[in-house]
This record gives sequence, structure tokens and C-alpha cells, in this order.
Amino acid sequence: MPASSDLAALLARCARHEPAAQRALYARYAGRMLGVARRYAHTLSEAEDILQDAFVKVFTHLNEFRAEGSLEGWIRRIVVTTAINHWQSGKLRRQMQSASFDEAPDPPAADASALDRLNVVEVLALIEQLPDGCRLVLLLYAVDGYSHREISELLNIQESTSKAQLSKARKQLLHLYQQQNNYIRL
Amino acid sequence: MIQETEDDRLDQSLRDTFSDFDLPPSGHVWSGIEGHLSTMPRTSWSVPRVLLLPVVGLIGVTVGWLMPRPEALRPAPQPRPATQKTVAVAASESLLPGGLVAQAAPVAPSALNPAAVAVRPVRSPSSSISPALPRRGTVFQLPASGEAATPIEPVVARLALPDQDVLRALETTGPSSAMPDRLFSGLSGATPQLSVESEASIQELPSATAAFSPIRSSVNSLEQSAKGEGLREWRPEYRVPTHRLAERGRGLWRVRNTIAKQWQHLFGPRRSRLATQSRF
Repeated sequence: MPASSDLAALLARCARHEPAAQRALYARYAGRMLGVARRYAHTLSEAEDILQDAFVKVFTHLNEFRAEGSLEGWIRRIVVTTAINHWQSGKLRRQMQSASFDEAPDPPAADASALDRLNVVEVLALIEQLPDGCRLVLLLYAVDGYSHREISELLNIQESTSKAQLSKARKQLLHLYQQQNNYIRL
Repeated sequence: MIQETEDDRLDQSLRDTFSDFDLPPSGHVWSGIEGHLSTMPRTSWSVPRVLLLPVVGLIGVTVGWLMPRPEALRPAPQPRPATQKTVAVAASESLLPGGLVAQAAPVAPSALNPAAVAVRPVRSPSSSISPALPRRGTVFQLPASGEAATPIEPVVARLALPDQDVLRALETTGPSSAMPDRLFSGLSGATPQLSVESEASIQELPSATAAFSPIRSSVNSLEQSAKGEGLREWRPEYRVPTHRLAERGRGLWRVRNTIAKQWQHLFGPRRSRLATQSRF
């Protein structure tokens, strides 16, 4: 297990606040974590802000990592939590957007396998069109594997609300996909 | 059921899409992280932890060395009396019937059997507190008036028996002709402690009771042996007082206290005040 031993040595050096080790750990996980942050952010700069704050938390609380799970999963949860905190900082504006979304009629159902034909950038473009509430619930549940109970605790909402938001997010995503395809065909 | 399958397919499609989603961060992200980390207070525990153990050990040894030891805390043994306290509780002539000694019948040497003589040591307060300590001063009491009928009692009772062991030896020794010598050889150190009354009573004995010649001879031999051995054995022990050792401290602290004490003795205000006084 040279990789795990290297990682343990790297963590030990990071615990001693060695800048070179911190830089190495950052370089190891920054790309993937920026992708995670980008899903929850609207822009790349916002995602980089989330990444910066998340890695500051990682290096500050590195002694609390118990190695019961993977380090990547631990850092990923920190990034997601930081992204949610960023979103909650501008909650009022997003609540207004969510309210407008709730009043919208349900779009017609579409084929679920249609998204397989899209690349990451296209899917991301579709998800960014979703209201923030639905988008967060969809990303947390479908991509990052959070349960509805965890989502309700994280977003401070009811579990039923989380389930409803997820259902609407799925329908809205397929609807947006259909609209995009229809627009391309026309 | 069909709807759930459709949802699962959508979720799986999203997971597959974002599974390899990496973005290269720009350089200013790490600069911001470094800036945040440098502004945070650093808890540099490494160096103090290295020094912590020796410092704690040094402090512990120093404090333990300066603290009074358990033997110093133990109460010092009570100073024993400087002189051997020999109380002749034997009934004086005033207490005894006046003609008791003179009227006593001649007693055979076998009457000197100490087993027959009821000489009981009175338990002193110190012995009651700590019976293991050796008794220095043993107070002898006269037996009851009924037991004091034997004329030898005053003589033997007035002898300052030095120790309990001698009494035990006396009790175990049977009536024999050699017993008085053994007794007085054991009591060789006790003869200087004889009171004047006992001396006087001993000198009066020949005139009063001619049958006490064995006792008289034994007393004479006792005096001779005492003259030969001197008083050195019964000189009271002058021991170093230990009850104030804890105040003086230990080791370098004691040296420091001694120097300070001498300094105060030589240059203290009392000496300067005495020096200013006129000598008449």
C-alpha cells in the first residue's frame, strides 16, 4: 500500500502545517473538488471561491479526520457543505426564484435516457437552468448520494419538501432537454 | 414502478456524467488559501511538547527535593529525661510501721528470691502510648501493705533497677546463692542512683538486723563493681535533637539557612544593639 502510506505521510506533514505538504494535498484533490463545487455554483469564479473556503476548512480541521472513510469523501463533503453555505448566504433571492418555479406548471415527461447523449457541459448547462432549490436537491440526491433526511437537515427543510423538489427537478430537467432538442430541430 | 425506474435511470445518467468531471483551478485559488492559512494563528505545539517533559521533570525533582521528606514530617521522638528518674516508692520509714524492719524475722538468703518479692513496675504514660519503646525511667511501686511484710522489700525496692530485662532475669532466676551477685552485677550501673535514704537504710541494716549480712555483702560488692566500671554506662544519653530538623530544611536549603542564621547571628540587630551597650 504505497499510496496509502504516502497519503498518511502527507497527512502527517499537513498536520505539522508544512506548506509543501499542503500544496501537494491541494494539487491532489483540487481538480475533482472544483468540479463538485462547479455543480453547485452558477459560475466558475463562484466555484473557485467555494473551493478556496473548503480547502481552508480542510487544512484547519485536518486533525479531525479519523480515517474511517476516504479522504476524498471527507473533502467532498466539506466542499458540498461549503457550497450549501454559499447558497444560503443569498437565500432570499433564491427563494423568490423557487417560488416562481413552484407556481409553474409541471412540464411533460421526457425520456430519462436522453441525458446519456449529452456531455458534461451540456448537462451542466441544463442543470443551471433549474431553480436553486430543485437543483440542489437533485445534485445532492442523484449525484452525491445524500438521503432525503440528510438533505432536509442540510437545507433546513422538510423531508417531504425534499422529495417534492427532487420530483419536480427531474421533470423540469427532462422538459428543458426536450425544449432544447425542439429548439435545435427547429 | 415504471416512474421509479425512469428516475433511477436519470440519476444514474447524471452520476455517470459527473463522475469524471474535473476542472483545473486557477493559481489565485491556492494563493488565497495560503493567505488564509498564514493569517490564522499557528499552534506550534511541536517545540513546547519536546521541552515540556524535561521541564516538568525538572520542576518535579526540584519541588520534591525542596519538600520535607516523610521522615522529617514524622514526629520526632520525645526527648527523654536527661536524668534517670528513679522513684523509690518504697514505703519510707514513716509510712511503714516503725519497728517493722527491726521486728522482722531474720530471713534466709533464699528469701531474696525476687519472685517472691512483688516488685511491679508502674506503667508510665509514655509506655502506655508506645509500649514498644524501651523504658528509660521505671517507677517501682511497693506491693500492697500485706505483701510488704518481708523485710527485704524496702532494700530491693529502693534499688534502681535499670531495665525491665533485669526484672525479667530476676523473675526467671531461681533461689540460689549466686543470685545476688548476678543481680548486683546486672545492677552495677544502678548503684549511683541509690538514694540517700537507701544508703542510710543499708547502713542501718547491720545494726538493726544482723541476719542481713548476705545482703550487706552484696551491696558492698555492688559498690565495688560500680567503682570499677565508673559512671559511664549510666550517663544520660545526649542525643542530637531532631525535632527541628524540618525547619532547617535539607541539602542546599539547609546550607543556605545555616549561612543566613550565622549572618544574622553576627550582623543581626541584636548583636549590634548589644555592641552599642556599655559594658559595666
